Amino acid sequence: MNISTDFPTQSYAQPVDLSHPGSCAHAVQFYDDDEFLLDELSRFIGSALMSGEAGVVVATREHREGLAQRLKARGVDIARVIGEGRYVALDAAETLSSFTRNGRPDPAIFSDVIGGVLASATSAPGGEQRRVAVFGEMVALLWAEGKADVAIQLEELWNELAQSHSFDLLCAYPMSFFTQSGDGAPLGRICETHSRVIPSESYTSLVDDEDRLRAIAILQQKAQALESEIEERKRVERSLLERNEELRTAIVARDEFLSVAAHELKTPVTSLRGFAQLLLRDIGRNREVSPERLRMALDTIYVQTGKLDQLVARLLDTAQIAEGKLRIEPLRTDLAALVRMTVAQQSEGQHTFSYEGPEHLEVVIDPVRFEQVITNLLQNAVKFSPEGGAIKVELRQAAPDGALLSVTDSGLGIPTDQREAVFERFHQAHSEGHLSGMGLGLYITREIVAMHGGLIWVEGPEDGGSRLVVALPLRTGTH
Amino acid sequence: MTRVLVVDDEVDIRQVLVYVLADEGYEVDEAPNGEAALELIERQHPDVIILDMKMPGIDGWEFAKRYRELYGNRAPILVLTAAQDAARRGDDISAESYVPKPFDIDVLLERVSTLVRTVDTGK
Repeated sequence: MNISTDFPTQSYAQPVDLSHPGSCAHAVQFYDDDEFLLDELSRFIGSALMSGEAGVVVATREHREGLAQRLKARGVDIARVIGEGRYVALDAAETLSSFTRNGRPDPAIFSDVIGGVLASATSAPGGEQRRVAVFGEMVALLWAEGKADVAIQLEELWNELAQSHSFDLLCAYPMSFFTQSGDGAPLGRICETHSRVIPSESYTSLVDDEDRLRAIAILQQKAQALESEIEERKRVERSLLERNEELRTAIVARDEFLSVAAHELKTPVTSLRGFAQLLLRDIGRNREVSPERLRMALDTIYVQTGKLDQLVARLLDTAQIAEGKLRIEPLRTDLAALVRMTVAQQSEGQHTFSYEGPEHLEVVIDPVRFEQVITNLLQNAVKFSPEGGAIKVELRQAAPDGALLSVTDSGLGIPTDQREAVFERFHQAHSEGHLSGMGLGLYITREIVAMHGGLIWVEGPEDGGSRLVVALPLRTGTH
Repeated sequence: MTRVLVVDDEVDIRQVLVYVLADEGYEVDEAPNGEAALELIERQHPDVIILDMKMPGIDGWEFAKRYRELYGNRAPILVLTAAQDAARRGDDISAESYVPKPFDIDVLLERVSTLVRTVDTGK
């Protein structure tokens, strides 16, 4: 029988060169479909049997039965070749366990078991030696169990056996074992242990060399695209992780802020409720409320409700800033008069305020919002100055077209590396030192100044304290 | 006469406590922070300390640490805090008692008198 005319499709699974006894081939067949594997296998084993050589198959029952059917269809008399000792079909799992000790193939037992099978298959009557074609899929069983290392070890044992025995070995792995990008390296190791690698049918079914070259070009493009895809996914994953981290940090900052805000709101409430209870107790005991107590209570109510109002206003401002809804209504305003008035309002405490600046300085600003800016700067200066400390307010027209407003406190000053951070939202909330405040005042201040087209920064004067400087273009907001 | 020391940075809160405690017949001292409180204690040792935690300078944690180092458990400490978890603040410094802000005057007075009784029995 002329095999090449019977089977016009070139078989890649045929022994490399059966005409040279002593040459060993260890081929690996990758396949997509069982039917294809069985066709290839029947060609490989069938051609050996039909040319008087031997065939040894170590396979699953399914594959052994499928192969037997195909061999019969090719005209192989199975009973006869078995009787002649030329065809041996073994169960892969049973054979594997016969030489496996402690989960790994024992080289000596492997050599005995498989070597024995090969020896009897190769010995022809009259002391002649015949070649043997071997198909094995014990490695595939191991691979399917996730024992890639053991499979590679077994492949190497076959290679060692080839030193002492002459046979052509075909292994087979379904491509479905290698669906992940990380399977590339193990697949490479399998290829390394074989002298011949046969791609799966999607490639080998192509008859024409030109078609194959086209297929290679298309595969190369796919590989390239996949590589880029993987890179892109990794990049996306990294940026997702970074974003996650940012969100986590933001949530921590928000939680810290909420806890500080709750604390800040509770403090005035504590004073208010305290004085209310105090007066109620006096009244309840029919005790006359002393004018001193009454005055103290009313003072407290006045001052603490003012604080509450400011805290709530700041929370609302912050929410508006976050939503981009904070608006300014710029008007022609005498900034010098506004500064003097705001300073006068803050001067009731124990700090000494001084003002240096022109009598009048007309600018276009939102007077309500800018009063808030000046108040925040003054309150900030009070908070960071010792009791009775001097607070210096300076205003001047800056050439050619701006105004500079500065407030200098007599506190400890702000280290250079923290001068930006004081304007961050919630800054106070996670700073050391338990100073009161939510960390919103300077944040809101910076936002309002920025909306006027201005800038704000911190300086450290040589004679101590901190100086907050607001630089304003004179014609801001005229748009 | 039983002497109570109020340590809080909020002047209004100190004022309420001074009035209320004095009405109940306590001798009351007040300090705006831990530093001032430690100075006061050197001159006049209190029987009970009412302590705010979050204060500039020497805060409640640092005050409690220094006080225990210097005087052990001589005066019981009642933590008075606006923190979310007042009990935990109390545990932080092994305080004998705690009251969350805003406080109920009756509850506060009841806790103070309990602490005073404990001190008296211990003596």
